[in-house]
Amino acid sequence: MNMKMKESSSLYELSMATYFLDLILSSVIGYIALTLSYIANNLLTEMLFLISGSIFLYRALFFIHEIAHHYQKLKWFKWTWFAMIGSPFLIPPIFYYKVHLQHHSNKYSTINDPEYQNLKNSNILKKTLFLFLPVLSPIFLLIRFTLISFLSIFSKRINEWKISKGSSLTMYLEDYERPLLNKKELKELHISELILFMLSFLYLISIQRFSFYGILRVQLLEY
Amino acid sequence: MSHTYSKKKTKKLTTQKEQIEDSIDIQSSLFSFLWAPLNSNLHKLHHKHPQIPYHNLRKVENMKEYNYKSLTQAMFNFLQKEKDIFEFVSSKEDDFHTTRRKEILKKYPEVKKLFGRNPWTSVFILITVITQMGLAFLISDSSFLYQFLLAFCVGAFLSHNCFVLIHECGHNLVFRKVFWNNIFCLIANIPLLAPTAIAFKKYHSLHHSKLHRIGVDADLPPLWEAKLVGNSSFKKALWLLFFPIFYAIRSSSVTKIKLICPWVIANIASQVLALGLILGLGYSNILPYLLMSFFFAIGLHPLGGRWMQEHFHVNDCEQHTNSYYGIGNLVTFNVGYHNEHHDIPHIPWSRIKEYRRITSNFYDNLKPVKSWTGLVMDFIFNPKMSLFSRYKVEEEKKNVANW
Repeated sequence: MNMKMKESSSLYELSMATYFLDLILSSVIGYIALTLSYIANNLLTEMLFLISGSIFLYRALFFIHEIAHHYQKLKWFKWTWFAMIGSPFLIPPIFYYKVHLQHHSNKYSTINDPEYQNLKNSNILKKTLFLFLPVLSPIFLLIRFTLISFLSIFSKRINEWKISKGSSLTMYLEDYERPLLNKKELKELHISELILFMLSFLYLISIQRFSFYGILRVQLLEY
Repeated sequence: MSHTYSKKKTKKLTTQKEQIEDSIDIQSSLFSFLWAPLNSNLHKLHHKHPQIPYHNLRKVENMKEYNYKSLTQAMFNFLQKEKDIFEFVSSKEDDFHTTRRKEILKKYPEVKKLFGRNPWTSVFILITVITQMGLAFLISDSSFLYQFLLAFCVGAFLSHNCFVLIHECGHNLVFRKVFWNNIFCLIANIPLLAPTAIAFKKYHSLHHSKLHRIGVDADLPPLWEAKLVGNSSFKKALWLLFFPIFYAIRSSSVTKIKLICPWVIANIASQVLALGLILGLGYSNILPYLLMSFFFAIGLHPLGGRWMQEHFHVNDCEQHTNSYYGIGNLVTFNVGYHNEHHDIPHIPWSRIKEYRRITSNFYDNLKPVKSWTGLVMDFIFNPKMSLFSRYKVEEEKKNVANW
């Protein structure tokens, strides 16, 4: 695609209104549904709210993909997304920027593609594990923004490792090094990391206070 | 479900065309927004035009380019393994051994001196049969485990030697007269219990003259058998264990042979007589040992690698016939020299080494099989190895020879 074709075709124009409206609507509906599922008094409505809430929040989360593709054009949108969705889910947009573009470059399906794995001929167990690996990502992210962020202040080596290997959204846990970040992007990473460091600490404290087990027990007692 | 995920991870860069071919479009539906937010079901399209924002993707949607109609279809396909190629390696190289035979005889006419018979083989036949039967009688009162171990470690080799010596007789390499060769076939057959010797002789002559012909060469598994076994390790091991049964079934479908003849009847009669004697004298407890030896001799045992070595494609090396020059030849009457045997079947086992020495420059460039045990393990555990790892030659319909 050359530049002329890009400009002539209206297909390539981003509709900011659509982006903002879609993001705000789906995240607000998602959060409301999630809240409703907590105060629901029977299992059926709770599950219904939970599922619909996760569908809408999943949609809102998916905007990180659009942000990665149109990083320069979606500046304000990016921070809105981070405020509404990125920060509670501990995902800064910079984690996907450039990383995802490698998947679209000629590095597709190579060892430098973070979103490709030769799975077709692996056994069913590995395939299912791959489908459910994202379930574990909150744990990894929590460790990333507490322990590793904290340690990286003191150690230069950990800091380098954190930026090159611990700051990308990938599909697998094998060795992958993200493309280098320039000064401006590094600054962005630090800002979002500071916010997420505090937030994840908040999470940790709340987990300690309420604990999953406690929440579960209370809910079970209700029925 | 965005890609096929069938490419191997390498350092080789890919083109956009390859990317698009490897990506998947799933048809949009009323519910696709549930599992594919922001039109991510159109992933092939997205890889084609990554700069188009999500809200415009539907506008360029091409109805003909879908890979799947629904997510279920795509998931089902993803969870399935890539289909294995279920086909033999086709070969147009006819009469491969005949050509080489002519070349060898032209270059080394002195090998003709090695042709002929070795009557001493008959003594080995008697020794082998007596040893095997004697051993069977000796340990008939032992525990099953002991019998099993002995059958694996010793009996299998003796039974295997019976097969090899029947093969020698089958090529009439013992006596001048066919009659005496056949008589010793019958004698060597006794410890094997199943009356296979004369029938084997017939099928084997076809195996030599019509190598790798489907439906004619009984050594080549028929399509149904190869498909049944596939490349699962468990099935391959099971197949190897019951190989004699499969061989019996597959050879019954070879129609070119007139099986029933006086010698086959004599073979069956002699085996029935031997079995009757064993049972009549009250020695039925030797049968398990003999049966186990028989199954180990050509089945799930390092010796199973012996016949597999002959025509399977070993170590990614597609040769019509492979030889084995290892230590196993010492106890198996040089049966590993299979390329040599196919080139010139008129040389008895005792002189095949001499032949190999004379014509070494014909065989030195061929890749030999290094280990029978290794081959059996490779066959079972290597998913690339299956019954299909061998040549087939399509049979021409005309000139059907009468054997």
